[in-house]
Amino acid sequence: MPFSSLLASRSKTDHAKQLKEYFTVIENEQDKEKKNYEDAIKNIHKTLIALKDGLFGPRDGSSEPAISDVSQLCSGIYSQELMMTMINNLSRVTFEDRKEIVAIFNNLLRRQVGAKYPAVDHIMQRSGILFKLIEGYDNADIALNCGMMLRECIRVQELADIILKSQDFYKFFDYVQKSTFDIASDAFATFKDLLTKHKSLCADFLERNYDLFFNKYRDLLNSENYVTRRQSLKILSTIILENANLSILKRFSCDIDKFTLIYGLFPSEAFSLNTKSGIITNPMTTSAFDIYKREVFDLFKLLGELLLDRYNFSVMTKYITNTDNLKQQMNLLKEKSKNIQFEAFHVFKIFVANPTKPKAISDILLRNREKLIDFLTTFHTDRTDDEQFNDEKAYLIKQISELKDTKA
Amino acid sequence: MANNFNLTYRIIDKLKRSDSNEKADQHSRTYLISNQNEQNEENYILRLINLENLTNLSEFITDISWYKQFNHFNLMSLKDCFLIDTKLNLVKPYASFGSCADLLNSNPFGVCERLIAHIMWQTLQAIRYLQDKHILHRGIASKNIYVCDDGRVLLDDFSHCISMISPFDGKLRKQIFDYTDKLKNQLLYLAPEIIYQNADGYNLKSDVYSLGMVACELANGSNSYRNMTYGNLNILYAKIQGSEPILLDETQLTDEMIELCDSNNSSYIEEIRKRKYTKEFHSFIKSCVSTRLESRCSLDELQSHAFFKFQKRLSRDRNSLHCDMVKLLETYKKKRPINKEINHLEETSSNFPTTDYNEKRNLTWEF
Repeated sequence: MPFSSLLASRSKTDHAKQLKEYFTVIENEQDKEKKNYEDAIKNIHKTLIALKDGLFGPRDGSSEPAISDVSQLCSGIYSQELMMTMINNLSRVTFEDRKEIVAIFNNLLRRQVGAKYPAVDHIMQRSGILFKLIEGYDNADIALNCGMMLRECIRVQELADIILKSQDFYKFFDYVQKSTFDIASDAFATFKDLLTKHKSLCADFLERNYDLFFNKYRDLLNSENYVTRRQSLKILSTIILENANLSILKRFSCDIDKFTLIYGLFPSEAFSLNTKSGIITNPMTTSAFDIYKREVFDLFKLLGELLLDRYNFSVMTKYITNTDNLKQQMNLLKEKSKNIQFEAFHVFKIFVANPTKPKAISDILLRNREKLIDFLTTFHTDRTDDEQFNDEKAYLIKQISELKDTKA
Repeated sequence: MANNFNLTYRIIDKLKRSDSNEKADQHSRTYLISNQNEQNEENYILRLINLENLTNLSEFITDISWYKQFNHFNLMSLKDCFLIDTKLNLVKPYASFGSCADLLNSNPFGVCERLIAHIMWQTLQAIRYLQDKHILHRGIASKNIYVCDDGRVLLDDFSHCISMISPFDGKLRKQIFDYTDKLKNQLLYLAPEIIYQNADGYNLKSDVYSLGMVACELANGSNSYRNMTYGNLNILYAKIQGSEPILLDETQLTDEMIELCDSNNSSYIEEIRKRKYTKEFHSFIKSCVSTRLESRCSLDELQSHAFFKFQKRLSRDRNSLHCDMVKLLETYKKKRPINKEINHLEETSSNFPTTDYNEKRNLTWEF
């Protein structure tokens, strides 16, 4: 049926074009002609649905859409600059249509042609799209929609890189503290993805912007908002331990035996400890995790060795030599919230485990020696089933009580 | 965070779920409140959740974000959501009849068929809306379907929701295979194909099964699988064996059942002997809870099922549909809140059971 297929494909490319026209109407004629505006809104709804069905196939999932149709549809979207237009008009369309736009946008990003992701290339040339999405957090109506699209973008390293390199990244420090609980939480999810998804990228970013980033981060840890405090502590322990992981990977990448062992030992699952809730997926991690439990002391020795290495200049070593950071973590330790205490413990332990503590740091620890030992002995005694935590606690107490000896 | 929220909401009463247990109470409290800023002082439900008692915040936050993605007449909405100290306050519309579980609690022999048809029809609309978004609810249960006094039915609890759009390649999936530990609370209502966890997976039809289970429960007065001798294990076994729940009325009453009847449940048997459900209702249940996917109706097929012919005729006019339901509801008792005066949010926060705070709060470090 050459005739009908000709018709069908023609009408598909038209969707993008039509949509573009409708969007122009709602951009320009908002106040001028009410009727035109309303018609355009209705038509946008119809066309978006048609576009989405074209990309996903029929609603009942009975058949896959034909590849040729889809690629035609996509090229229409790119040539009409529809991605940008859709995001610019996100606040103008209806509640339901916003979600259609999110679905279309996210689907486009995942679409692979050969080895390439056309949508990623498209956005890389128009980074405005990313910044427009970040800006979306300012508007409560579209914040969550923008968040969803943004997280989809961040999955791609190149796009996350653009955001991390821009000044707009620092907007997140305000967004995560927004008074609306759901928007702040969503911004946190995006913020966390940015800092943890691409490990080498983040390490690079953190080393380069160390002062600016951690100065701002200190405000989050001191925030009045309970959730902000709890979440930001969690991310902190994840990122600094992640970076420890990275510097180790660099050093040991030629030594394959040690590499496998340490790769298993250090990922955040094994290290940041939440043994109960943490899910260990990597098979290599699981086996190494058992070793970890048995040889937790060796691990700390190893950690110490690694930190000794001057070439392993990493965010972590920088972070744990700063007395202000130690003071903050120690204050968080005696926070009234048990969860916050627990998260703070995982940052605090690295200060103590560091074998080359600067004098300022060990002085503080020494001055509070008796109090710290007392404090740690009674610290979260109800976590009896968390072996790893108890081992580490015992190690810290040992370290602190031996402090004077090493000095003298 | 501003604490002036206290000024706009006034607590009227404390509420308790009929099926609540002590353990759940430690994490959350529920209150009936009214908003003083609104002229008609409409009532709402306030749920206070102490985040300090939750080990995993991110999962909980995802649950909440679902509320913001839905906007449907028959889906529970989140009116307000704010944080005071470590307690998260969720404000939702108030359903004076409580959930279907509450309704059954006060009517242990089941509710009338026409009311069930109304509840099913409205819940079906909500599920169809979710289907349009390619979302599987997975949490349809009698305790999650609420009935308001204006005849509106609300579906709540999105913690089991999952999208049919693959998180890996962004494609629309025909089947999904996800099974999380959390789902085991939902075992009574879960479709057998979810329980199998086999390579065939499951799809949107699984919600239809849960819907049928709720309808059956509303008619019979209790879930067919509740109180089985070996608990969860027996439910699993029964479902995997292909057992399908049925409506208990005079046509289904066997001699064996009469024989087994003792003084405890003789009134129940008497009730069953008296009632007779229409053949449309029987067929509706059959087409919902069928173990074989081919003979189970899709949501679109259910929409035009003969069981709903009355609702379908009225569905153009929401008012008359609801009026009819309100009339039916008149014979049922509203859920009575416990009468206990609490006037300020602060008061409630202070008597919230908190995990023992660190005894060494006065500890100071020397820097």
